[in-house]
Parts: sequence; structure tokens; C-alpha cells
Amino acid sequence: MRASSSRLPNKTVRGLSKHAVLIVVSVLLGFPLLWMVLTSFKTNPQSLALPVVWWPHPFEWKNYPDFLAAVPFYRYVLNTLLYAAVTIVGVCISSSLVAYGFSRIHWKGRDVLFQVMVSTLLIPFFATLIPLFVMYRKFHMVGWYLPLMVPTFLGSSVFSTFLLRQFFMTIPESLSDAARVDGANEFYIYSRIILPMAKPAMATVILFQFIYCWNDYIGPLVYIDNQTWYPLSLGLYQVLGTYTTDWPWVMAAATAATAPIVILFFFTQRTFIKGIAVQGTGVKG
Amino acid sequence: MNHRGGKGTDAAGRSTGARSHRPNGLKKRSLAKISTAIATAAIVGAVGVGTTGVANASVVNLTWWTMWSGATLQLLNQMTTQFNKTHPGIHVSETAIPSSATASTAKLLSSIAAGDPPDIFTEWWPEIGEFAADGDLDSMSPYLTGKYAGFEKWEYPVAVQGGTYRGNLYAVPMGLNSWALYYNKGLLAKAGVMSPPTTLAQLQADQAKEWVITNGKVQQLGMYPDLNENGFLFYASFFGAMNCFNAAGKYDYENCAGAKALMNWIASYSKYPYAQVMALQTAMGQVAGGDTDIFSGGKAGFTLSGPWEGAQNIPTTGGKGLQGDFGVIPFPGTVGGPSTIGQGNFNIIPQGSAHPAQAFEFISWLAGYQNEAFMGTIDPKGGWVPGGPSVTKQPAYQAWLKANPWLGPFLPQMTSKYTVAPALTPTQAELFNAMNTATSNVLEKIMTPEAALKYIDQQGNS
Amino acid sequence: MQASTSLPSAQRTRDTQAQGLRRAVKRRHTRAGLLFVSPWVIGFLAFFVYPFFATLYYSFTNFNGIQSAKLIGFTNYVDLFHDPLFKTSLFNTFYYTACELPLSTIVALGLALLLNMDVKGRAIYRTIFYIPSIVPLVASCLIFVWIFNPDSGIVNDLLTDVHIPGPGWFFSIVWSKPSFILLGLWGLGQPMVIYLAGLQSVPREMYEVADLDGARPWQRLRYVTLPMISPVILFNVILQLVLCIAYFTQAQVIENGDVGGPGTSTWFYVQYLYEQAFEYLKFGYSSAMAFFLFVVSALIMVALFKSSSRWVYYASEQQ
Repeated sequence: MRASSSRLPNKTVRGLSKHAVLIVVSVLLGFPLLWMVLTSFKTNPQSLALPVVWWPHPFEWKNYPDFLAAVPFYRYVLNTLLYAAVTIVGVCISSSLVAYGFSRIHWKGRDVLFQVMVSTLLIPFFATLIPLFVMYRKFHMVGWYLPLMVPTFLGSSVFSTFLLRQFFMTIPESLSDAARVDGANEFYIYSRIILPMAKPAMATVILFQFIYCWNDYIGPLVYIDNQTWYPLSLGLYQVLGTYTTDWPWVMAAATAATAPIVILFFFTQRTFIKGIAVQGTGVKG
Repeated sequence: MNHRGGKGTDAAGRSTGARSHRPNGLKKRSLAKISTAIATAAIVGAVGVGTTGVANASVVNLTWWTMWSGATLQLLNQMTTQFNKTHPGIHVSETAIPSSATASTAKLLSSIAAGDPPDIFTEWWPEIGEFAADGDLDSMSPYLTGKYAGFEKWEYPVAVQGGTYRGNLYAVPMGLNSWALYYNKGLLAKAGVMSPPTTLAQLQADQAKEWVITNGKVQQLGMYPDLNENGFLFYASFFGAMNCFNAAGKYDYENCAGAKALMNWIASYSKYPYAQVMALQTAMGQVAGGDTDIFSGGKAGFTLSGPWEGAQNIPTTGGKGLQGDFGVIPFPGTVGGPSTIGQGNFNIIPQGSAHPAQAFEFISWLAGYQNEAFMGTIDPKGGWVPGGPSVTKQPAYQAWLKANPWLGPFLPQMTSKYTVAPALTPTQAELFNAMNTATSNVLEKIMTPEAALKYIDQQGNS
Repeated sequence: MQASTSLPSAQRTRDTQAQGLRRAVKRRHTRAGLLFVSPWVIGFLAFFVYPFFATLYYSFTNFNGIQSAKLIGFTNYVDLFHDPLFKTSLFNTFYYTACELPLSTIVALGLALLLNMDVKGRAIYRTIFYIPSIVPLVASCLIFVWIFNPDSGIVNDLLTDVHIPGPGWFFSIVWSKPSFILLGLWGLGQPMVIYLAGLQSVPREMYEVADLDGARPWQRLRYVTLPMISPVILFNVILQLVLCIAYFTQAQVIENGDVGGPGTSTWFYVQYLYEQAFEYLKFGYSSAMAFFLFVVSALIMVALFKSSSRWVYYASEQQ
């Protein structure tokens, strides 16, 4: 039994030191971001001035409206949202089904096939691009987002499937067994038991798929032919000039592209981080 | 925690009861998402069709992929609009594929492989030899008839050189680049030199006076041959080191007098700290495809550049642009007179293009052929030398030349006998990359000049 | 009647019945399992198999992207082993992976543990820690290049203030790879959030039991936390492996045309692959490179999965 010395100062000291560490790390991780945002308010000469200038004076607010006028920003955001929305549906449906099959049912060859699936991540995109592109062209899918959207309904997001499979495997087998004993079939267990318990994991998958679509530019660059359909990520590249570059514009573009996700993350983090500690309660042996 | 369910099973072994009980929350969210997606798609699709213009059955639709971005892209849009206005039977739609996104060549090659390429593509010129040799390009020679019979004569000779492979014309420039030596008058005067150099030796001496290195950091430099990755190749014409082949038709820079002279000249700069110069260059904004550079930032005494340097650069010091403080002289090389490398931004017709004849019509128009008046107004804005000399006689172009006397050296070089384009070969890209690597390796003292030339030959002949 | 003699055969019937039942269950499970993974199998067959084997085929040819390929046997693979740039780029990628993989695991986990603490304003800290990973890649590369600029960047400024000579970072042959490693450590938001989610789903009773046993913090970490989140550790390690071997975009952006950085210190494998394929149109050679990489990394991945049976704890497998 620990001698209970005056607890109050200990708790405050501990609390303060926790904050201290967090603040130090925040500064380390955060000051490049600060640079990005501050530079977006500078004039171009000032962004390149040596020695470096931190605080912009004059404070150029107009970098943002200028950038918004230079590329069809709102149209690009809509395109990105469409891309994200469709692929999120595809991933939620197919990746959860596939993950279930790889985790909650025991069948021969399961783990080997699972490793085959994960190993498909090991071929670099550019290596298989030409035959893949030719094949998509034969299916008449090239020109719009189809090569990026359709595969997500067929479990193409190995990342999501893998993540969900890991989460599903943290749920004790006894839950599934009890349900099977009660006569439930696999789909029922999947939809009524496992999925509801994996809400944090599903929310994580949705968030990451959204962010992936938000920043993905190589796929859209290669498959989309009409620039009115470009996602926001390509809008940023369009601002990087060929002969000259307005760096505050680039930073403004980056800030404008980052801000919505920051807000999204800030307000939704509870959903997937604060896990439901249901797993483990009432299931002893 | 009791989960009773599964009232009866169907043939597939799935509970018929469960089929109507999908995970409620997820189903509702999915439905909402799907319907939003469809609605958005419908709206956006309608808007999209509207903005891309009406496709008329009797009009030939051409697709043009360009790799520019920023201000230059807007210039291209003006050109496309004008062409469409004056050519009612053809409609060109432009897609900008930012080159800084790296995957642009991959996109082009994939579309050629799939048989559905754009009709026109503006290519970085080192690739033309590779593409032409591999059959990725349509030859334009069949279209040099009728009103285009005089086309090649109309072009600058170096433009024809730079676009011809094995007797076929594969590439036509939209804008040519002419390279000359910019010098910062203020820095030169501060170094105690009253007039710009006229010989190579004078250049060496003058630039040496301008270097300021404190605490190992470069504050200011004179001349440096690898700024903006414009290394060996861009100086080749000044030293007679452009196309060094041996009798068997293989690259032979090792045994080429001009190449040796050039590489030794480059090696004379290896005494300066390479890493610090590169760091300074990057600090001045030369990152990710940006071309804002040391010279326009007032930190370099000399730089090799083209007309756009003076015409387009955004002011980087004290709000002043690249104005008045600088001058331009022909590079004082070892050949008998001014020269430049013949390169530029070339348009090509990918193999498998749907309408190559109309594509050529557009490409020749962009070069300025029978379009001198319009291009005479556009080329100054881009800081380009046009594809043919007659455009430069246009009043708008002449006015630009008069208003900016520092442009003096650029045009006469184009027709100098020492001006030559790099020969198109199947290993053109390997050669140019090798030249860049060789330049930086020599400057970093990783390679001797002899080894560097050997390396260039080895790569070019691979 | 013949109670004693009928028992063995009844037992055998029961055994056969039990065996038959088990087999039927197995068959049902196999059918169900395959049904559930069938979306992936269809996608795999439709979109992956052909390009994969086409690439393998091309590696034995001199394919140039457009004309029909001519088989040349193992020439590409032999040439690979005589290619100094192949060896250099392989080394660079291997160096990067070997450093980044353990470091990123420790850092991401460390950050997640910090964010798991019960402090006020957690949401804000979490957001700040997470943002670096969602900044568009081009922008974060540029920011890093400026901050770490040896001449004028703030990092070297601060180092000079404490009398440490700042290294050349991205411009130094020795420090260029470490600079990329640092860039990778800055943007660890994704694995961090996944670790955090994992940490939050560790049942509280586990910690209560450990506390009752008098466990110290690092023992809790070692004997409760790490095993409970081991499935997620495996996930992040494998994903990080994938990202490391495919390292491309950041290097392209930062090197800005001077591919390879100072000397050839940051010439990464996929950069060389891209150059061979899309600049030199040597698709046969680049396919051989791709295959070599695939085989090597698949071996590493299989080793990781095999080892995982010893250190990964799945609640659904512990019966």
C-alpha cells in the first residue's frame, strides 16, 4: 500500500509535465505548419527574402482570393468530394466483407490468400501502369474516375481490408461461436454483431479513404482527360508555374487544401479514437 | 448479449431473415451517400458538359495536352481561343497536365500504348529522339504539301534540325529558346569591372571577383555553370561540343576537342562549394519546378538564360523586377562568334492520333506559320523566339525588341552558323541525363573531366 | 440386447457422423469464407493478375511501350547486376527502409501513447500532431526544404546559436538520406491515429488487473499494451514497409530535376525505375527492376507474417 502523501501537488505536477511534453512535441511538429500558413500571407519577394522573414508585413490577404480565382477551386472541391463519396461507399461495403472473410471464419488457405492480397501492394504503381492502362482502355473506362472508383467496390483498397481484418481479429472468437450455436449464419454475424462493434475501425477507414482521395493526384492525373474534372490535388500542381512560381500562392493553395480536413478531423476524432470498450466485457473464457 | 436470429436458411445457406436486416446505421448512411453522390454527379456532369463546349458533328475535335501551369497556361488558353475562332472546322480543347506532377509522360505513353492518345502534345525536347525512334510519334512530313510546302524553309534552320529524325519531321517548336549571358551591372561595378567580358578569360576573371563566401556560406556568386540544371548541354554550342560523333556514328565526346574544353571549363568551378551554391539556389525558390533563381534575386553576377528571364521573372528583391540593373551579352565562347543551343518547346503528334492532318494545321499555326500577326503579339508575352524569323518582323514583336534593348543578342544568334540543335537519336534522353549528371559530378569533384566525358559516351551509346 | 458388442459399432457410427459433421462445417466455412472474400478475388482477377503477369512477361523482353516485344531471356536481369545505378538505388532504398521502419514505429507509437494520456485539450493536441500528414505532399516537401536549408533555414540558424555547425541536410551526401528520414518522421499522423485507436480499445480491466499486481508503467506497456495492440503494430509495420520500398514522390519533388540529390545519395529505386520506363522507354528493363523489388519485398513480408505468430496476439485466435 503506497503511503498517501499529499496527492494534490503530485497530480498538478504530473498534469503540468504531461502538458509540457505535449507542448514541446506540438511545437516541433507544428512550426513547419506555422511557416506554411504565415508564408501564404506574404508577398513573393518576402517569402524568398534572406535572412528569412517570419511575420509577413504587409499582410497579403489577397493571396487567397487570387488563388481561388486562378484555379476553379470550388469545382475541384466538388470533384474531390464526389470521388471520395463514391469510393467510401465502395470501400465500406467490399473491404468490410472481405476483411470478415479473412478474419472471422476459419477456412483452409485463408491466411495464404490473405498474404497474397497484401503482397499486391508490393508492385510499384509505375511498373504495371502500361498494361493496366491498356486494359482499362479496352473496358472503356479511361477518361474519368472509373478506374479509380470501380475497383474500390471489388476490395481494391487492401489498406482498408487489412486494417479492418486486424480490428476484427481483436474481437474474441467466442462471440461468433455463441451466435453460430444460436443458429445465426455468417452474414448475420457480420452485419449484426461484428460491424456494430467495429464502428471505430470503420470510421477510421472512412476518414483515411477520404484523406486519400483528397490528396491523391497520380491516379487522377493519369486517368482523367478533361481538366474540369480534376480533383483539388491537381489544382495545387497547376499553381506551380513553369517559369516562375508565386510561392505564397502555393502555400495558400496548400493551406486551403489542408484546412477542411483539419476541421473534419478535429470534430470527428472522437468517433474513431474513443473506442467502444465493449470488447472484453462479459466475455471471460 | 444474446443474438438470436437467422430464422430459416435459403439455398445459399444465408439466413432469409437476415437479408432484410442489414446493418441499419450503415445502410442509411450508405443510401444517403449514394444518393448524394448521384445527385452531385448529375449536377456536376451537366455543368461539365456545358463548360466543355458543344461538340458539333461536322467539326474536327482535337485534344491538346500541355505541361504548363501558372501564367504560361493562360497564354496558351488565349492561343487556343484565337485558333478556334479563326478555324471554324476545327475545335481544339486543351488539357493542362502539370509537369511538376511527374507522371505526365507516363500518362502520354499509356495513352499511346492504348491507342487513344491526344492529337497534339507539347514535349520536353530530350524525349523526341526516344519517342521518334520507338515509333511513338506520327511523322509530319506527309503534310508538308500544298500551302505547307514551304513550311520547313519558313522555320529557323535550327528548328528543323531539332525536330527531324531520319529525314522525317516529328516535332515543330511553338517557341524556341535562345540563350545568352545575363550580367548584373551593379555587382559587376562593385567588383570594380567597368564593362562586361568579351572573352572567356575575361569572364573567368570578372566572375571570380564577385564571389562572397563568409563562414562557408555563399552570400553571392559570380558565374556557375550548373544553375537551374543548365549544365554541359546548354554551353555546348559555345565550345563546339554539341554533336560529337565518331566515324562509326557513335557518341564520342571523349575525343572531341570542344567537349574537352567545355568540361575543363566546368571543372574550373569545382573550387567553389557545390552544396552551398545549390542550397542558395533552393533558398531563392528554385524548387519543385519553379524557376525563380539566384540571378533574379540579385545574388549572382552572371547567369545563362533566355529572353523570359528578363521578361517574366517576378521581382524578388525589394519589389524591383529584373529591370535596368542587368544587361545581356552573347556568351563569350571559344567558337568564332555568338551561338546558342537550338532547343525549345516542341509540339508532336502522338502515334495513333485521330486527326493528324488537322493536328499539323494547328501545330504549324502555333509556330506562327501564316499566323505571324497574332503570334507577333503572343511571343513577347511568353518571352519566346517564334518558330520562324518572319514573326519577329511583326510590328508587335519589333516594338517589344525596341522597348527592351537588352533583348539584342537573342535573335541574331538564331541564324548564326555556330548555332546547332542536338541531333535526335534513340538515346537522346540518356545522353542529356548523363550530361547533367556529369556536370554536377565534375563540380562536386566526384568525377574528373575525362571520366565525365567517358560516362557521357557510355550512357549515350547504351 | 447385445449391449456390449453393439457399443463399438455405435461408437464408430457416431465417430463417422462426427467426422462427417466436421467436414460439413469445414465445407460450409470454406464456402462462406470464399463468398465473403469473393469481391476481392474478382477484383484481383480482373484488375491485377493481367497487369502483373504482363509485367513479368515484359521483364524477359525488350518492350519499348508500343511495339510488340521480343523475348530476350534473362538479359535484363543480368544487366541489372552489372548496373551500378541499380545497386546504388537499391542500397539507398534499403538504407531508407532499414532506418525509417523501426524509427517510424517507435515514434508513431510514442506519439500515440502521449496522445492517449488523459489531459485537457487532448483534441487540440491530437489535431496538431495529425495535421502534418494531411498537408499536400508537395507543400510539405517544400516547407521542409526551406526549413532545413543549410544557408538560410531556421534549423541551422538555431544550431549556430548553440554553436553546433549545421550540416548540409538535403545538400550533403552524408546527411541527405537522414533528411528524408526526418521528413518521414514528421508526417506519421496516419499510423499514429491507428495506434491511438488501438490503444483506446484495450479493455480497461487489463490495466486494472495489472495495477492490482503492482505493475510499473513500463511493465504495463510491455505486458499489456503492446501485446493488446500487436495486430495493429503488424499492420503499421507492413504498411510502412510498402511505403518505404515505393519511395518516390518526395524525392522527385525535393530533388527538382537533379535526380539523385548530391552525388547519387538519394537516388531511390522507384525513381530509377521510372526513369528507365518513361524517359528511356526501356520497359523490359524497368519490369525486371519491378520484379526484383517485388520478390525481395515479398520475402521480407512473408518473414514478417511468419514471425507474427510469435508476437501478435489476436483475441479471436486464442482459444
